[in-house]
Amino acid sequence: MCLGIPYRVVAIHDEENCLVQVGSGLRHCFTGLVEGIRVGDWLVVHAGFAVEKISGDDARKNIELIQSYIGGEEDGHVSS
Amino acid sequence: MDTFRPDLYRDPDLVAGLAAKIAGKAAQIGRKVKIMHICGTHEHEMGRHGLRGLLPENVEVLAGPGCPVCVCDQLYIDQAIALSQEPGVILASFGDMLAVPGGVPLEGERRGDVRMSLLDARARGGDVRAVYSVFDAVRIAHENPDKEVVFFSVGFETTVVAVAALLLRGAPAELSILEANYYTPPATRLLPSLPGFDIDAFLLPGHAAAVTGIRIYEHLPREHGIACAAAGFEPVDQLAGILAVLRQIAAGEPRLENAYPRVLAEDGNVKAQEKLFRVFELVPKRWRGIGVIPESGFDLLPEFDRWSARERFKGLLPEARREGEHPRGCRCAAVTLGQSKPSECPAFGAMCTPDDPYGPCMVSGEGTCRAWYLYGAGDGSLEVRA
Ligand code: SF4
Repeated sequence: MCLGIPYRVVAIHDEENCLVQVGSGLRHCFTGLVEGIRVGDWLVVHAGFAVEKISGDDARKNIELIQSYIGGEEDGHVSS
Repeated sequence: MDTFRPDLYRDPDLVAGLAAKIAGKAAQIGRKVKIMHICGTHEHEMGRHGLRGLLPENVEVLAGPGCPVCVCDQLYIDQAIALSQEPGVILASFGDMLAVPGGVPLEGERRGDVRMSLLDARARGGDVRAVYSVFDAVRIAHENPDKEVVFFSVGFETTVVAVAALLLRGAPAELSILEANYYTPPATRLLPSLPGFDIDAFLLPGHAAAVTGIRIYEHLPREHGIACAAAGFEPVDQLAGILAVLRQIAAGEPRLENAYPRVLAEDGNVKAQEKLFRVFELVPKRWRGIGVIPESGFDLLPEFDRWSARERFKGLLPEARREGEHPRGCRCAAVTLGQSKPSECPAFGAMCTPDDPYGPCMVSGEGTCRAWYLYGAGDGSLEVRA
């Protein structure tokens, strides 16, 4: 039911609907919960529904966080 | 150029770097550490990638109640089966639910306490259809204006939010929702109070938390001293989450950590939360194998009752729960709480397989027993007795 992999937007139908690619397949995706979707964006999709968009900035932060873990810094991304 | 590269999260150098750090932290801690995840996708991906094989002996990762199919109360399955037998009703369900046994014994079956599933209901003439999302159920309703289409809405907040958004836009009058909708945070509130609970850390579900945010889990470190990290699903993500909690344990500073910032905002998706709570209210729900947990499920608010299967089919839905939550001998209750390994169940790989499941944890791709059957314990050992 849930998949951990991101889907890539290949076409926008309207404000709330787009077409995403996963592997070699295409699927319809509802985007009413995520703003400003463009072709090429990566989405987290659950049961046909985009739950989040992965921005380039957040992706960079994520990799920096992983590298800081491996580099041994003890101050990761902490929320409380 | 892409700034997001999915392949990086399987990068062998990053995996090796994280595994080495995990080994170092585990040695520094010097005692057994138990980490529980509460997401079926974590279990599935952990098995598929053999991640347990990268962990030191004193670090154990256990599956908690993170599979919505496995915790779905058998009464809902019995209700879905009953509705599927009504003339003029099309029952639309996620494919993962079709083979899950409910509470009603399957007649003519000699293998033990075998229960009816939606597949058996279909074999008895019910119009049961597998769908990928609630939008497929809408399409079926448009194509069949003379029929009642019931969407069997099984899932956690990530799935329920789709139904909320749909109903806010307006849905066909022929569509109704059977609300087997569960909410993760109250289950994590209950777990530490269970007898014998000895979990040191939680790997929080990255996508459920993408909806709710992670602050809702603050009670875990604050009240129970449990280390917490929200993690994604790729090998690098899961190992990063494991390292994050080990670092907290080594430092004696349990807290909430976001090891999945490319998806997870700390306050979650506020727009999604707002839609969710405009359509649904939190109610007590029975989790299969656990019992009733207060405010742990979503039912439609009264103003959306016209789409509630509960209301529309009043009098037709079975209301009494059958004796015995799980088929006799099935240990899903213990497996769901991380108290038993699938391979400790006598039925595992013998009477219970993915092709012919006996208990609910063997059905869904997110079920712990199924993941162990397909991938072994995830540490390179395959414990299937075929
Ligand atoms: S193997 Fe798992 S699903 Fe099957 S009967 Fe045993 S505990 Fe239940």
